[in-house]
Amino acid sequence: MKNESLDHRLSRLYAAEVPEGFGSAWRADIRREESIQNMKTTNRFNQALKRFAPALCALVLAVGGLWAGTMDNAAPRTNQKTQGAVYSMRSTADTASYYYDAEESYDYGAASQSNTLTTFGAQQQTDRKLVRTADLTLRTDCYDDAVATVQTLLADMGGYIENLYQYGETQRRVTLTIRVPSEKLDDFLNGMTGIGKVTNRSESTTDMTVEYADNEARLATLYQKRDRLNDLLAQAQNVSDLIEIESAIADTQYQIDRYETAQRSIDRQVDMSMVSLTISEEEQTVINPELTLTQRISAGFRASVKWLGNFGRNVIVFAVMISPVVAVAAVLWLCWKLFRRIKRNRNKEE
Amino acid sequence: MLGIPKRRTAQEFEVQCAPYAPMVYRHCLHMLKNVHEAEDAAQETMLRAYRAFASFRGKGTASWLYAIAHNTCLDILKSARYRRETATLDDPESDFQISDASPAPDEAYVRKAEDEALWNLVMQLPQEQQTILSLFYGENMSYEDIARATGTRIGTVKSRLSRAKENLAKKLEQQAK
Repeated sequence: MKNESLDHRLSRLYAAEVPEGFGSAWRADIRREESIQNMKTTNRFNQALKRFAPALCALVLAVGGLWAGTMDNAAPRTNQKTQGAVYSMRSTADTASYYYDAEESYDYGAASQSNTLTTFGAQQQTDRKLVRTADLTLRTDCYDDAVATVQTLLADMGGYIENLYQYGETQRRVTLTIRVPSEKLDDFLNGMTGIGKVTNRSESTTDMTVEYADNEARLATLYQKRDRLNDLLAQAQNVSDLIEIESAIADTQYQIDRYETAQRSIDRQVDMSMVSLTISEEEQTVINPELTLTQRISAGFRASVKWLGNFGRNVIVFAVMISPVVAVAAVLWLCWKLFRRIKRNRNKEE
Repeated sequence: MLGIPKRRTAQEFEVQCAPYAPMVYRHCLHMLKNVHEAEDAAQETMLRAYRAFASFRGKGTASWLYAIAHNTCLDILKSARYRRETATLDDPESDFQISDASPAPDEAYVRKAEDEALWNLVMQLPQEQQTILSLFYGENMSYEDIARATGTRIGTVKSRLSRAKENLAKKLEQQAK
């Protein structure tokens, strides 16, 4: 009886009628909400993109920073390519007018690094005085082996080290001025590529033919002058003539010596090409086993901080580097948004 | 895959939740005791439920909606706007009246007092028992339907309903003494 009464009272308690418009009202709310959500997030990809955009940006910056760091090593290689592709051949205006036409170009841009020059040298070296020089920079992990290999190669080719300058302790560097027989210069330079990473390579050729020929002509004239002065000396009648002629002979002899020295210098430069070779040791983090734990921790921490600093700088470099791309992308994105807004407004008006 | 709940359409929501919309309204009405406020609160409940629908995977749609309705009403009761309006407005037409054959004024007053007292006792029950009472008496649902709506077994529904009624009877007896 008691339960029946309670059932009755509970039935009455829950018997409130639902307003007629309630069902349609909340359904309308839901539809409106759905359309808002559709407008906000056009698809799941956009939603995911928004959610992961910060992580994505961080990843791009991190990868970009690392990549920008590697570009430091790659940059000299790019130079090498550029410089290797465009061999410069310096020539004086005199040379051009004497020996080759203005149209006879010595642009080795399309030529391979060595063969064209070698062929040219073989054909023309007999009657032309071409002085070839090269500049080469290598980077290697095995510094000692690389230097030893260069010396061995040089000895085999009949060359020699003219000058050597070594410096640095942890990251050693040696600058060598080398003389290599001209006909073996290309072989020598090509052989260097196997020793280490070539970060810079340039070659140049100077045509000394005109200067050499001028010197020859002047020498011939001076020889004749000296012979004539010697004849005059033999015919001299008084002391003052004698002194004057001897002075003239001394001057002439001095000039002859000077020109002969210049000719020998040119011959030597033509025969033995000069190569400026720089070998640098790659930076290595060497943990000395004799260090104490504290020292090792300290060194490791410093290395880590240094790396972090470099990484931060690289990230900044990368961020600046891609800023034009980002700017263009932002402009395009804004245009797209504007276009969509205009289109939507037009649709609404219609 | 990306941890983002899959979007579910309004249609899916309606199919799953529409049967319990009256229950939501009635609960709001009992809590707020004002028809207009109850309607607004019930709409707000359905909207909140829709927003959370994508992440709702559990069984027991009715229990889930009941909890949302309860929290929505509590938020409204706590809101400054509600307090201000209830303090200034006195609209007798908006007051919650139980639809019944027009009783005499005295009788109606007594009934209203009794119903309020009973509702206060109902609100003291655990929420799962409240949900079952609402579905059983308000929506006239069978045990099987209630079990499906609350994501429980029929036996559990029966026992909870029985326990709820026992608790109410005890509390009524205590009040009578």
